[in-house]
Amino acid sequence: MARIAVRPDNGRDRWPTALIYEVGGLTSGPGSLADDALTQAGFRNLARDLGIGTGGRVELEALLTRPPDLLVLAAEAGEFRTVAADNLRHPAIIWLGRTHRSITVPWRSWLCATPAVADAIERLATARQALRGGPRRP
Amino acid sequence: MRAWWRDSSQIPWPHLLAALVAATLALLALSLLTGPTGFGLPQAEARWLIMTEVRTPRALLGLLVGASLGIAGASLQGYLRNPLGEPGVVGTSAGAALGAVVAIHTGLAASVPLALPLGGLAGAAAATLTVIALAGRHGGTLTLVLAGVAVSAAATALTSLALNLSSNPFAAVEMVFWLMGSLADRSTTQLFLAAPIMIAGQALLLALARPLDALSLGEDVASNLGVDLARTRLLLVAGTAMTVGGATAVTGIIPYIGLIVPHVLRPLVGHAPGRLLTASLLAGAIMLLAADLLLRLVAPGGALRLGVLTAIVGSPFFIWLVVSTRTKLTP
Repeated sequence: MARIAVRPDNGRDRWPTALIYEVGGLTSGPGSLADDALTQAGFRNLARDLGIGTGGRVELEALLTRPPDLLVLAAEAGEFRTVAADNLRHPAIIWLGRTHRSITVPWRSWLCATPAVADAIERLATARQALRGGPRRP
Repeated sequence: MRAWWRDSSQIPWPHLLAALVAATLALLALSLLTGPTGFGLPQAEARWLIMTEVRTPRALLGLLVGASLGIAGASLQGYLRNPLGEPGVVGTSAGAALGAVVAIHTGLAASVPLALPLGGLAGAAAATLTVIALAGRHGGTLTLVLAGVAVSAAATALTSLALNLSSNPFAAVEMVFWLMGSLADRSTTQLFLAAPIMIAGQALLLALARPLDALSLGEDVASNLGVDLARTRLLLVAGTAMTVGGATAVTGIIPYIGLIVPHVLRPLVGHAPGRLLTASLLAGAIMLLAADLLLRLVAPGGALRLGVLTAIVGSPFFIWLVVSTRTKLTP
């Protein structure tokens, strides 16, 4: 667990934003393990700004109106054969993936507090480094 | 048989038709102008994408699905001569959901996209045929409702079985989608898949106008007037299967639209089943578009599902209908 270094809390509102987008349009907000992972990696969870609780839905139009600096997809579009995953195949998400930064971090990485969370945080932190060039100021 | 109902009509037919068309177009425009944060055009870099890929499919699906459910309800009530004939009550919707689920989880829908609405169509047709075979045109209200309950329960059980057997961890999320439909975050993909089938089904059901008018005078009179009863039944089953099957395959089950709309309109069209079809087509679209608007304005953020809202509004109405027809229900 030594890999999970706690970052200082100051200036958090200037951190780049990230939003987790799961099957069914669900997202994870404050109080969730995924939210902690985002914070550890140096991201401000956009779900907080959208007023979403520990778990909630984010509508596509809200996502398109204010895209996060990093979109964290919790599954590949073709991974699950279910209407619940239609949102991941939506043309708007495909467009976001092309025009904005996005990564796929499988949801099972942060479903439970297992050592896999460390891998997820590492991948997020790498994405954070890549954003250093020009994170959008809120 | 020409215009025997016209005297009892409260509003002249052309006026009613014009009012319904105007309300439909107004609500369609309002739907396009409403976003998750309220009224207005999208203010974002992606505004064009929001209009074409988010708001347009939502508004057009609202229009087509509402029209489909409205006319399917009016057709079933007219043909079965039964006030409780409705796609949700007689099991057509549950059958459509089962057909769509089977199409998705066998992988058919992934390889042949059209398999999704066609699966819904097949399920809806099977359910409707079963209920008509069980209850028929002479079975009475109680038999029809019982047959509908049996078919709905069987179809819902098979849907959850199919989802249990499927290898994805989101069976519960998907079950919610099928039981409580929604227009949220649908895409043009789903619109283009279902629209042709829904529109063709609506055209078939509109062709029922004359046979249904004749049937309201009794089967013997209708036969003498040259109505082919077998062809009428075929039109009804094919039309409801296409409208409800296409609609349910892309939005899930949205209950009670087909029940409420014909009842509200019936006195306004002077109880003429033929005119009720056209009026219910338009009013179904009006009701669904209005419900979806209300949803976005009252419960922003997508917390409340459309199917839940129509069920909350529709259930008291359904209970009232049961109470008001109780004298016929109790032997």
